[in-house]
Amino acid sequence: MSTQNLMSTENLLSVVVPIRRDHDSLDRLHTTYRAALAADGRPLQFVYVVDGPLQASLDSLRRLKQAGEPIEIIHHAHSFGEAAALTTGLRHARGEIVMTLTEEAEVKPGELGKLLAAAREHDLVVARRMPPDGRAPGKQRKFELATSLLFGGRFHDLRSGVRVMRRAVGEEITLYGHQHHFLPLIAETHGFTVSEVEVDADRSARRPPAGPNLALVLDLLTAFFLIRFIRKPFRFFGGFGFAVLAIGGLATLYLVFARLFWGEALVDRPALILSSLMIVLGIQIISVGLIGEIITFSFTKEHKDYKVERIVD
Amino acid sequence: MTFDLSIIVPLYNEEESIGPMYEAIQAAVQDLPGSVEIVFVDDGSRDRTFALAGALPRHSGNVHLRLVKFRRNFGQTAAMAAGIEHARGRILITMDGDLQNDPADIPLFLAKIDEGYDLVVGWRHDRQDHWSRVLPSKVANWLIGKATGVPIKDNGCSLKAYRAELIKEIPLYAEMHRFIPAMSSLAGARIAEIKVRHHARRFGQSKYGFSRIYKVFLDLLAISTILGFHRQPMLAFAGLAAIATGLGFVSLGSAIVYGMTPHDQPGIVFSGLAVLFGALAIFLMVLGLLSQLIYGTMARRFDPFRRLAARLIATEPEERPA
Repeated sequence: MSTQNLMSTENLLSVVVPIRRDHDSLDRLHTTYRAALAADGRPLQFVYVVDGPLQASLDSLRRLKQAGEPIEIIHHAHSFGEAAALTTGLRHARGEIVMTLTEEAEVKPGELGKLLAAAREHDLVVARRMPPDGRAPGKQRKFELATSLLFGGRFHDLRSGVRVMRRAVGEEITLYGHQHHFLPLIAETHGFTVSEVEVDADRSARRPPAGPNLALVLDLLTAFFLIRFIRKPFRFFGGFGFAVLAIGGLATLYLVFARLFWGEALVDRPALILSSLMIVLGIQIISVGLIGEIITFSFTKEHKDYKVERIVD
Repeated sequence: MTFDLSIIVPLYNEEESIGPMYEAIQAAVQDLPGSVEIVFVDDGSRDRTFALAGALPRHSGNVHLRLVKFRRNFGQTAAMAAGIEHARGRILITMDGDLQNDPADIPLFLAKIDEGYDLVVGWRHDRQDHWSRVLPSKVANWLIGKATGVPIKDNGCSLKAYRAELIKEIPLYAEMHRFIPAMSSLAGARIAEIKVRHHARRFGQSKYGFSRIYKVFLDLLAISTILGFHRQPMLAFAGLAAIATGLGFVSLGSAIVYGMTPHDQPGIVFSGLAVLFGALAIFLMVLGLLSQLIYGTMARRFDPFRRLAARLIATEPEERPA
């Protein structure tokens, strides 16, 4: 590893901070981060991605840049969301190691060194924010429970915005929508090694509310589908669709049989309509799955199933 | 750098097998005319497979060794696809890394390719596996043959030989390696099947089970739809929609007939059904349009198949000089 330090860019630490709200001044945030990271002794590159027309934030960053801070400002002309802002920032990071931080301090600045240390052994390190009183907010706990049920509980704090990664991770993965919450899981499917490190949460700043529960549930569902079935959509839709179709078909057969041989009336209840509806629904789910499979088939050559680490001749 | 022959072997935790495997391949190909490349694909093994592979000689006589290492375990199809992508031979042979296939069969495959076939598939006629593995496989092969119209006795046999220009165009994803012959037939490939030797597993555990039939069934339905629909996607969906429309009209007719009698209650149920089937018919037509859109934008995906088909007919065995 020592030979890597010969080149200066390999020692460079890039820090990507997506800015999604308007701040009167980002001086305090920037100074805190820079002071905490200066302790490590590496040269720093800060990439602030201002996501949308946030004039006060932009002005504040410009002033910092004029004052000689190692800052790059990237401005999304309108808001594309946090995942897109992160992707933009990661693409502009030049350092071999890239840290992502948040516009409100989420972890105690003194803890960042822990993450950097762990990043020597893993491709991606995510912070698990440990609240000082030992109890995470209710919403965070619910989210943790759901993720551990769906993904096996290796990660406890997927919503944390504090991460350290090798540049290759940021270069390879394109995030959209709310996928930044699932970066650890996505990185694992790409074959990167991921680790979670416990750090003290910063109590002084509260992150804005994380959005309605519905958005969280949809997030989880999307991530589950994308990670488990993106290469075989028909296994998902087909299995589900055939189950619905089978239940509907059996129920319809029973109803018709009961009507013809036992004389059970069908006119005074919606049973037949419901069972037929299930057949129709089953066919629809299966057809949609076939369309999904056609799309996967078409893009196989563009999006390979595998990641080659190296080729030796 | 090109080779006359590439032999692709996916390896997943095969530290015991890799040495004997290399020697067996070496012994089988060293007397062949032309250059040979062995491509070992390490599918994220957790044991010493890659280290042992790295210790093997890179060049030995006419044999060159190329190692492809995955970042993690991506599965057998992915390993084969990667091997095919990174192989540089004119003729490609794939085989299992667990010594169940016998490299001594390789010359038989090359002879078939020389006869003018584009794809030669191995058939483990004397399979040395437990019945719980052979039975699901038999069912799967029968299903695949019926659905795709390409009756191959043993789709699961990894030992196959291909012309590079054919196999490099076939999209392999998820667990689609079973459907290589079916997809090749779309390209007008001439397919031969030959009996191969099969040895019982010497090391390690088999990695398959009964749940395969269900997966094969779903994969099969998907792949035969993709291959079957590609000429007329709209027509296929319209066919399904026609069935739904028919059911809708039957229900509507019943509703009207009941409506004209004093017992008009069943008419309500039947008109409900008519609406339901009508909605399904419209939904299927809309999906047909959507599939038309996708096939339209991916038309170039089928271009290689068309090109291959045009080329392959020119090299049919009958037309080749003896």
